[in-house]
Amino acid sequence: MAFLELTDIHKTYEDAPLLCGATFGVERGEIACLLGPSGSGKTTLLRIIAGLEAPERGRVSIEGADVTTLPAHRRGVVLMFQDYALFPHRTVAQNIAFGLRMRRRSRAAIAARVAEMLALTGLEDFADRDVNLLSGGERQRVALARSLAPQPRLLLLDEPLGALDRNLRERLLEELPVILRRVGVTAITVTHDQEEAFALSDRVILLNAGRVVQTGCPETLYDRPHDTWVARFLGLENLFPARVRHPQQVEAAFGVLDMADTTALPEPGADGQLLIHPWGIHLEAGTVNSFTAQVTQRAFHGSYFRLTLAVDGGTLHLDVAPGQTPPAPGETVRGWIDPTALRWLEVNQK
Amino acid sequence: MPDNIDHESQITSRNSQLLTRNSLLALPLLFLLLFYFYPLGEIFRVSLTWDAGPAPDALLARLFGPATLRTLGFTAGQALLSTALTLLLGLPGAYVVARYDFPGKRLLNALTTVPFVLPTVVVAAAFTAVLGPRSPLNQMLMNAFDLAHPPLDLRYTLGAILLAHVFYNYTLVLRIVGGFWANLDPHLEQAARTLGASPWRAFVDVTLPLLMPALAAAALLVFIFCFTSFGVILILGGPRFATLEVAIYRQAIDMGNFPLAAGLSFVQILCTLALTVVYTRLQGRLARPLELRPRWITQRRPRTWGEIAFVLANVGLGAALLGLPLVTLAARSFDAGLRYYTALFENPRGSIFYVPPVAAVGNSVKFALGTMALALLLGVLTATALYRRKQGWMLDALFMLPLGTSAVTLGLGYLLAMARPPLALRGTPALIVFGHTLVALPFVVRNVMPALQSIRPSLREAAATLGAPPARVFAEVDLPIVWRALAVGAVFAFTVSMGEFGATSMIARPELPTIPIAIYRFLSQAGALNYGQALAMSTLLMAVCVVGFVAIESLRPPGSEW
Repeated sequence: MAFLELTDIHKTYEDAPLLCGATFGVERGEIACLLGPSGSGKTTLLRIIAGLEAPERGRVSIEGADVTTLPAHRRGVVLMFQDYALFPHRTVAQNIAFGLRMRRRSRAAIAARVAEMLALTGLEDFADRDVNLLSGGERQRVALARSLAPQPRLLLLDEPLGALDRNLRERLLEELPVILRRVGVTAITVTHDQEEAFALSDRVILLNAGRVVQTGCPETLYDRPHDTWVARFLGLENLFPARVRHPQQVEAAFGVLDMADTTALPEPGADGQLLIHPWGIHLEAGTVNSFTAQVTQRAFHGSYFRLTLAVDGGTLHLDVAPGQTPPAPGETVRGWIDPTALRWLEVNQK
Repeated sequence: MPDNIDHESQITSRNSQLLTRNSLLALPLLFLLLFYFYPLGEIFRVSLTWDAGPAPDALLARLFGPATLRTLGFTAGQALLSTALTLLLGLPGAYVVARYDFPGKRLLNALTTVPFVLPTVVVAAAFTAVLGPRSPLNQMLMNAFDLAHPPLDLRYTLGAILLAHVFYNYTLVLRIVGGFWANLDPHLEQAARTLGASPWRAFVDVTLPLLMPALAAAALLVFIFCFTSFGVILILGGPRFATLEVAIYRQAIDMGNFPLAAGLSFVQILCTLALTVVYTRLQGRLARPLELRPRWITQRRPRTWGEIAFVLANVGLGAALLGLPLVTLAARSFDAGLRYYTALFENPRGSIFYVPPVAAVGNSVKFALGTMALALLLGVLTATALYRRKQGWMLDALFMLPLGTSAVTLGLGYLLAMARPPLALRGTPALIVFGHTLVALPFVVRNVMPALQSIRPSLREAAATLGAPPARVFAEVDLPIVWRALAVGAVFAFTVSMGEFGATSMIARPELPTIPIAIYRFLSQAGALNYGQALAMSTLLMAVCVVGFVAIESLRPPGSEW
């Protein structure tokens, strides 16, 4: 049994279903991420885990004990809000001490723990500052220190980097998982940004329309999306309608392709979608899966060029390192596709 | 079937939360029932069973006759004009209070509340001195243009009534709107300016809508006070003008027509109830969750000459409006040197009704402190129970009712209802505190509720997930943040009690007089010495109030320096 378990969670918001049977678990010490588009119910799930909202149906258990009806302050689950919710009438140190005071720690223990948290988050000089005068990044760190101080058995972070500017975000994207892992806390973050999800978490729980669509470590999720919705959400664009021709061959509009990975491949004759990972597309003469295409777009992205190629039945997107002179729009190119870069996907109902 | 059990226990837990919130209301509701509805019920019961009264249909005909309609029209009209004028003059002042910090601001703040506590009799006397033929202005004009007669006599005019109402209520706008505005993030208006809004557009499009809850609260209170105005109309308006309240008084006291007086009170209560319902429904729609900022962020010294001139103009306007009558009053109390003051300690005729002023001051302060404590307790309970309710407007309106009820009616009700068991409280000091609390409670609720509504919900939720049980969340988050509003409510409760006259005069025992009663006793006796002693006593009342406000204002809980 997992450390945290959510079973068949249902919740409606203003009469529209928001969560419809969400089920997943998180292991002790794991940093999980709830990823999904806005409106997928991820923040509501977080609030249900924190005890700030009650599900209409379903069960939440922590360490094997049912906590579905346990009030928020008795759960030992701390939620770090997107707006940080720092108490405006308290100093930095007083904010951090709050959870410790609620647990009736001694004055000395509180002072020691606050100092420890200030050091952990690099806020040593900020103890007596007014939280209303802090920058966004400083506020985020105070919120993190406040959340970690009482050693919660589970830490929830709602869009922890959502309110920050880009540079700060990238720095904290590296800092945050380091701090979380050093403390060893079990944590769930919520984000709509896959880059953030991949960088922060051990495991991604992908939500769509109130249901868990796929869970797994970031690499697996990216490598083997469960269906076309997941692929598109993760930014994988090379999708083609296809039919299974042979146990190791599929046919798309622009040609018949050999596939190395046939685990998900159904019986010959079945229709589905073919995903081509961009790293498997090579613009040179090849012996397998060769194709011809016309370049329609070339965009410079700093460390690479992004090319868009028109083929029969769709477009192929791939990134090319700037060292090799990439073809210009209008040129016709020949290339081949690595059989290990092909994935067979289920077609979504929607 | 574990699923079903879970589901049911969730519903039970939600119900128990609702139950806790409702149980907060038990005490305030009981209070309202015993000290508002019960005495009013007694009045209606007694007046309807009055043997000597007119026949019921004749009573109804008079109650809805043209005279009543005229009175109602005048009552509403003058209240509307007074409210508009007060807002017009008070809003720039509220802005100055909210955004600027300048030397002496605290003292000025405390001084602006003084008018609020002054008994109407005293204020009317002060305005007669300022607006009458012997006013300083008339003296000046007569000297300047060599006139034989004073050119201006504003007594017994609508203008005098409006000015006196502004005098009374200017501070309400300053406190309620200014207090809320002071914690409003200036970035919001600055953001509008950078988006291309002129200062005026930024004010109209951004600040004004956010101020609406406070503005509506202030406007409604001013309107209700002017609607139920009594002493000002009676003395400054003269026989030509009558509000419903004056009509009630005349019917009850002069004509002894209790059934008609009770009927008129009923009409008045219905009007204020309707106003309150409209207001509370509006307020729910107007309130927005705001991030309140500490004052030292929102306030600064005026820097440019324009800003300094604006601040000075408003301070000057407030000083002229509020100060002139008060200074005239205080100055005239020294017309005979200290004679009026020393006379307060003398009892030349050995009268058994002699009231040592020190005793009256002591009584007033005791009643005011008791009222403040009780009103704060009941007010916080009420506001906490009501601020999150979607359907809270009915209850909210219920607690506003005492404000719109005539003091005369209420005093009469206490006399009738509290004379015998089950509530034989007539003549006890507690009854005076209860009566004052009834009037003070709406001030506390009106001040605390918008502040509670403005706290971002995530602050309370953050405290909860950090381990704070609901009561602790209230103590750690809500209370320190609404402390300002609470202090303002406390000041009002204190002042309402200090200045209350109508109801007190009907229920206080002769040996337990308050300051307003002592003043009234001096005023009701002829002679310059008595009038002078009334002025001296009024000056004392002002002094006690200023000391009281400054003390309350300087109270701050640790860790809430904003």
